[in-house]
Amino acid sequence: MSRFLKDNRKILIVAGLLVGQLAVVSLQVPLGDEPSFFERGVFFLFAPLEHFVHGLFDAAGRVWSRYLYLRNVETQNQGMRDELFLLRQENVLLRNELVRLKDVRHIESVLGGTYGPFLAASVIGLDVANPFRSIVIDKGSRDGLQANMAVLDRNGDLVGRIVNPVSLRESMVQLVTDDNSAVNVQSAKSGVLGQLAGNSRNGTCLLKYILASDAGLAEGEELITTGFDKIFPPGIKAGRVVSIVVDSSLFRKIEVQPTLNFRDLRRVAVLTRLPGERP
Amino acid sequence: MTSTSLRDAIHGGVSLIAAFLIQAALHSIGAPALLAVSVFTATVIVFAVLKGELPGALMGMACGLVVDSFSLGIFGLAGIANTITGYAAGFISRKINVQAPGRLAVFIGLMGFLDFSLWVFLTAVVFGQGIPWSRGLILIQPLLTAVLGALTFILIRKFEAGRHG
Repeated sequence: MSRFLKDNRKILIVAGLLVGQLAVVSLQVPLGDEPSFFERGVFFLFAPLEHFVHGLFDAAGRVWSRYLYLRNVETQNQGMRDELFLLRQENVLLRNELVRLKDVRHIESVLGGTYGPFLAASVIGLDVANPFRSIVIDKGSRDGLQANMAVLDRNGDLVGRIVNPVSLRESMVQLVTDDNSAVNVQSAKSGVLGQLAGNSRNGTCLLKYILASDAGLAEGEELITTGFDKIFPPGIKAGRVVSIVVDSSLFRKIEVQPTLNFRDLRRVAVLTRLPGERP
Repeated sequence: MTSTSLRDAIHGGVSLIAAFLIQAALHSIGAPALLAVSVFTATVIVFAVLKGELPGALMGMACGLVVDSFSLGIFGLAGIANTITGYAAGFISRKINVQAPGRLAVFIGLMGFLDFSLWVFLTAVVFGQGIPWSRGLILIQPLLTAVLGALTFILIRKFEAGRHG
């Protein structure tokens, strides 16, 4: 027996490692989406390293933009002033339009929900195994972040929500393109309700539970959040319908291009008001 | 713990941190860069070739679990795939000659493909999760991993040769 153990020591150790990891996989089943202590521990340990590397690149980028592109500042400044002027005009026009269309209490709830307090954060890491599933941002529990807070991009479009693990200075964000993501949405035009699920195979989304008999949705329609899921405030742009397939199944197969742009995902805004929390 | 084991453990820890830093730096290039090359797989294979099958398997487990901690997928899948790859790379490299750069690149490429296949099998077939194919971009991962691994191996050899005069 001892000779067998001695002869096969290496293969037995590797088999033990594999069994241990299979046990870790099976332990995850009762936890569901909640990360284990081990997973949290590794995240807490390595997230500051990711923060450090991002800070390094950020600093190098700042030096580059400050010193080498300084001569373009005046031109950029003028362009931004013009853009700001136009955006202010547009903002006033849109608010006036909103006042005309809705009653005051509804406006307050929409504006209060969508433009509640938020925290700007930088994206410091992408999901290592599948970049369409999650990102890591540089704000954590020390900044008041908690799981289930909604995350928007710099245009105010939907990105995802904060999920555990949340460390002191870093948090993980589940993207709307993750397979396990589910957001209640409706068509801005036809009002058709559905659930936006992620499709991490190609970074798109699927609109689910739209009956094949429901003809009130067309390609190109914009989808906005409803707020029914009690996580995302209503009225946030989530995506655009790109294709609708009707086959023999009960529901339509609807592909949606999410509004979040992976190439432009460097800064995000976290809505710090939790679902159901009063202002 | 013998001095060799202690040295291997220190080398492993440093390699893991270096791999993590390079992976974090790749994020600055963008998501396609993360899909096209697997720094952790290259690290596991090179470490296994240099140190043997058991340190390779342990390194595979450590790298895989770090990957799993920074992913929303099922925790432990990359760990299993990398453990098997680390053991296989260390074991096979003892049986055949992989010291020449060309042979080594092919070997790392094959081991990278093994790791990728295991991960795809476990993720998509066993657990039914999505694979980020990105119009086939992910398929060049073993190739670029081989190039990265071979370059790393050559650099380590040159560094060691320089240190020993």
